[in-house]
Amino acid sequence: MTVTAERIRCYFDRLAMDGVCVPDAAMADLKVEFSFMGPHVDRVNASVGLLFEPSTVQTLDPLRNQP
Amino acid sequence: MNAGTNAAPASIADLGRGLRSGLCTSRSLVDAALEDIVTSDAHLRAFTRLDADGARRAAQVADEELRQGIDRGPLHGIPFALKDIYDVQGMPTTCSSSVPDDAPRAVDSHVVSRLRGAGAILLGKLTTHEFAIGTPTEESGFPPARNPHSAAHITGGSSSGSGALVGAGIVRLAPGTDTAGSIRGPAAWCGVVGLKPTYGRVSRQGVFPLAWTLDHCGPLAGSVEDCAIALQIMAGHDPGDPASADLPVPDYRRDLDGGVAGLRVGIARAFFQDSPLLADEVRANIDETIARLVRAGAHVEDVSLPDIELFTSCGRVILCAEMYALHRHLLAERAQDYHPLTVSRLAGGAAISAADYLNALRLRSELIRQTNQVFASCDVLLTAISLQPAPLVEAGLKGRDWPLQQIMFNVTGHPALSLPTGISLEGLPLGVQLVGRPFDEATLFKVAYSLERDIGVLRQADTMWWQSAAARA
Repeated sequence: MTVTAERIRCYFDRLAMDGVCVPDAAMADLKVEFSFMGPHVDRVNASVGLLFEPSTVQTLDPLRNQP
Repeated sequence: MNAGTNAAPASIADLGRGLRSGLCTSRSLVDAALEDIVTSDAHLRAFTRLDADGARRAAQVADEELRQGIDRGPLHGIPFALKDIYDVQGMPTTCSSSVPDDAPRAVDSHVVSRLRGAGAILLGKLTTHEFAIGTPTEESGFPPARNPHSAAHITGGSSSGSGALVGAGIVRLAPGTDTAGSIRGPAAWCGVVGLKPTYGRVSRQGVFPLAWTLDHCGPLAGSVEDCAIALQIMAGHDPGDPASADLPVPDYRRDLDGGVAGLRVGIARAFFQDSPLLADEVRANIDETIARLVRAGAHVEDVSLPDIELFTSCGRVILCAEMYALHRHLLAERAQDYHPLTVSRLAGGAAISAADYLNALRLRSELIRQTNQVFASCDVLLTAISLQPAPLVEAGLKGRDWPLQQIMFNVTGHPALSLPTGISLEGLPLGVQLVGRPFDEATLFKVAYSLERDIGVLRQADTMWWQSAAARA
């Protein structure tokens, strides 16, 4: 997934839907953040695609490492 | 308690012996700390709120209790301070931000309640990065704490005040929080011991969250034993934290000096050895630390873990999604009151879809499984904590390319400890990261203690820069 200008516009639309008005001073860094997230999201989704069959049963229980 | 000399500073255990033998009183320890703070904090900028009167009153109560034979344990009468995202009764919780209200909190957070119940004396609250994720700046109203080893280098964060104060030797204990390394990073760069316990080991009740899946509370302390003493008090089940583990708390000091002979230490070499960021002196220090373990009788071998980039990406997606969810309504109302850098980091979570986040949780379960598999053949892992010494202030404050390797064990929840193991050519702390099985902090402490004893006192400048500055003032 390439973080295109269109995608970044979608992310700003999402913020607008949430009522978040981004101050001008934060805009440039926010665009960097959006671009920065793209490879991380890609890597997560790609690895999950490799690790799990769609029919794999999983639990996403937040409690872990407890006997 | 000042650690600005080559002499080994007094540990919590040393101070406790002094209290019980009459060599000092809690009041004298508090007065000495307050005197150090008065001279140092204009330079170190560790505190957001100092409660000198409250500390003196509490110290007098502690002294009276000891005189009456009421002994609350090793932290009785010992001064401490903590990160200003922990609630303290009667004080506001600023999170180093102008966004939270300034109403005094009605009750102590669970950790504060435990520490005070153990007789520890709260001096005040320490600066952090805004909501533990922002970047402190000179104009933010909460200026950044300074590294006690060098004014030109950053402390790291977000438990920056904690790292600075313990690193300066003014207190032996300053709890912080760790969501993506915020205890271990400042511990590494300020030259102190920092522990992110097992997820669920220490209650987070009364602590402003950042990411529920990754948040941990833990100690920054002046030594491994100090850290073990602190965890002994901080750990334990709390129904007020739904992730709190209902498991017994072992005696963390019982086998502290048991040595490492026969212990199996796995080196997660692939995490760091080929990184272009790895400084030669850090590599050499890690190698020397491993050699110390071998000489002490540990069985050391390289182990294979999933690619560090998987841990990092998994952690980043979870972190960004959860902190955006947490701050979304506040951003809608008060974005203009946050620092712009904080807004950009928090709002970045809008790029994470529900499907992305759920896939990160699925990946997390697999990373936990594979990490636990490695622990079938070793007792402790050793890896890098920082690939370089603390960055320069100009380079460091933006915080995106910090040479730290930490979030892996926030993702999995394994206990991870940052241990100082050397000094760089510039006089900055170097360290390693030790990782244990879930709820086996005792073995972590044992290995760290063995290394600490072998390394001895790390020689630093006779006078720290802030002492010279205070003397000139």
